[in-house]
Amino acid sequence: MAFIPSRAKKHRTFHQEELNLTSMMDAMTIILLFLLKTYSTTGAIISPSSDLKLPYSLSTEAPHKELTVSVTRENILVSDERVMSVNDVDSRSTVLGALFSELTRRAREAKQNEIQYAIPFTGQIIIVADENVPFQLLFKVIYTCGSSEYNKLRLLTIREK
Amino acid sequence: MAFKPSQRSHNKVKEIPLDIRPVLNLMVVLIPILLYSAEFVKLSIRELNLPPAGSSDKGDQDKALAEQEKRFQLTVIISKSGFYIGNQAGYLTGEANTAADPAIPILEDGSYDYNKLRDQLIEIKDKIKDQGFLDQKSIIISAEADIEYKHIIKLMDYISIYEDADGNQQELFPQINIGTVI
Repeated sequence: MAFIPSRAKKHRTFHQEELNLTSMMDAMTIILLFLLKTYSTTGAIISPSSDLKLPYSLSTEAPHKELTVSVTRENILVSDERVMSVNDVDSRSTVLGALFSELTRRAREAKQNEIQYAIPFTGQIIIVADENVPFQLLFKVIYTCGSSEYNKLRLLTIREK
Repeated sequence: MAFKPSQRSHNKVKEIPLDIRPVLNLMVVLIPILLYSAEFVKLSIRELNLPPAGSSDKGDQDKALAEQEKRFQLTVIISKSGFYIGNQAGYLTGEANTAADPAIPILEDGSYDYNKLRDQLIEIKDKIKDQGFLDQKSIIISAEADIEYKHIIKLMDYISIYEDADGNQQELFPQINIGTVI
């Protein structure tokens, strides 16, 4: 048996429902404010890694983007490119050969850029080291940077509140 | 002639919903942009002072000049058993009064006594203040080979600035150098 088509439905008029966006706007505004508060203009200086945990410091000096030398628990990197392994460090010499040649190469390039494109070469470098790096290795890295034209050294830390 | 009574009282106010869709569009664009450049970890830097390469082999004239300069060369050495404080002339001795003991030994729980070190350095700073040392603002940090980096950074925090009795921040030894154990 077929049903009789509903009479009520036949005469129903559709009227457009307005989507209520007010609550969504509230949420968005809060998110927007939060993100504005954490806004940074310097951009990412370090790429996070599991074997690189920065130490905490009370220093409030803001970092700038410069060439970085990262010393993780296993590797030494120059601007995120692996240069040598920590295990390869020669315990007798104070200069790390591979790091030294990489830094001098970069310094030469930077000086070339200074001549060609007038990008000033400041000799600034940021050392990004894991908090458990022993002093001996850290000193060798600092010494190597200092002997290869990059002599304005900065240590990167996490700001403590 | 009298004016015709205003029809305003018969005006039916029609409620117009606020069109917030354009604002919403803007938000949808803004949020990814801000999320991209958000920094959730606040970073800071510590500046080190390092002489430029090749400064050690200066001419004889410079050398003679350098010898005339009065330098104090205050040094703090971190060792496993505590802090050694000293300069070229010698090192402060610990309470046991033997030269091998550090001036500020570690606390009983194995942590370093940074506050005592700071008090000691404030005392030293007061003593050398008006004696015309060229490097009265600088300090050399050194450590045993396997002291971890975090201790060195912590030490830098304590020796660069301090709070005096009035709660103002004062400079202690803001120019930090790093050296090896002599």
